[in-house]
Amino acid sequence: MIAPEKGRSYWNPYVAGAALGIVVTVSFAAGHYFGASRVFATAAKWLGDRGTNLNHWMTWEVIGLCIGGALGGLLARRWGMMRGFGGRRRVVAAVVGGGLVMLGSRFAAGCTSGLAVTGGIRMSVGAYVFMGAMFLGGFAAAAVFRRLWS
Amino acid sequence: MMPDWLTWLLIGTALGFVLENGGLANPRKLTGVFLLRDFTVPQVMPTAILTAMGGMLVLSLLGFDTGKAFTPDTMYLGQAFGGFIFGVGFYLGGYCPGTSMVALGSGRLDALPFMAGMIAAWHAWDPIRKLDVLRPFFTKAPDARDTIPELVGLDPRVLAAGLFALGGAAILWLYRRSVRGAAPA
Repeated sequence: MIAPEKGRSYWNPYVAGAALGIVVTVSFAAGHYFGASRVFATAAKWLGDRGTNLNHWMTWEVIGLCIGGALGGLLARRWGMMRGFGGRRRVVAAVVGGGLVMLGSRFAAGCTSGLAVTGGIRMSVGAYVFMGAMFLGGFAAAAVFRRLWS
Repeated sequence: MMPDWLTWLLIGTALGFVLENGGLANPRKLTGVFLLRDFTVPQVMPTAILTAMGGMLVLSLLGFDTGKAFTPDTMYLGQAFGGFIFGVGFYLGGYCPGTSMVALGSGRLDALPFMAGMIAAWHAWDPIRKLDVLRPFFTKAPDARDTIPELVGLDPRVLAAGLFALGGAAILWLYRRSVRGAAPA
């Protein structure tokens, strides 16, 4: 298991998974699912066309993700600016990776949150096709670029 | 009643808090499974899915019409191809869209070039998405079933209850094993 660079240890992954499942249930009860990639697509569209409406429940949820990440990091003393920042190579890999993630999520009409997790809960066929293909893609990339995260 | 935006801001905050505490804002942990170094993602995801399946069953017993909840369409080509390049990008970039936001909140600035890549790629994508050659990726096969219960001909609630019971027992066993094996941090 990979430990945090500093601060308190992470939760047990099964505890974190159960907590995540409970929050996702609450969000279903509140009327929507859990999603993220759509907000980035809308934000990109807004940059080209200021008439694009950004006021969507998912936008608020994704802003919340950022606040929650800050709270979690600060309370456990894990918060830090440059942890694991690998210089220029890391920046290039992050830009290329982000680009492929966006393209992939547009082809699949969803990402890890809105398609894999939400669809997984709904026992969606497409969600499990996506998850299987995602793991294949990740393993293929790791085989080729083994030293990227070393 | 709470305004809508505040409800979703709070739900997002709770999700981000849980993800950060689970280590899912750390790109080394997120990509660890692909290097067989860290199995947080394949432990958290099935646990979350099974817990929420149980949660949905409880909601339906409480009278919520869970049948109306969002279910993705099945588009085999788009989801298989999209999933594959998504996986490649996930490994290279270290994040997925949601976790990049959590990571940014936790101070990881490498989430910013990842987001810049996503936004740039959308602008490359937008002019080509309506091309005829791409249409098969987004076409739902007429005989495609959207859910596994439809595919195998089972009542969704029966299947969810069965999966929750079996999967829940397996995860409880794995959890107890992980606690016994873990050295105090």
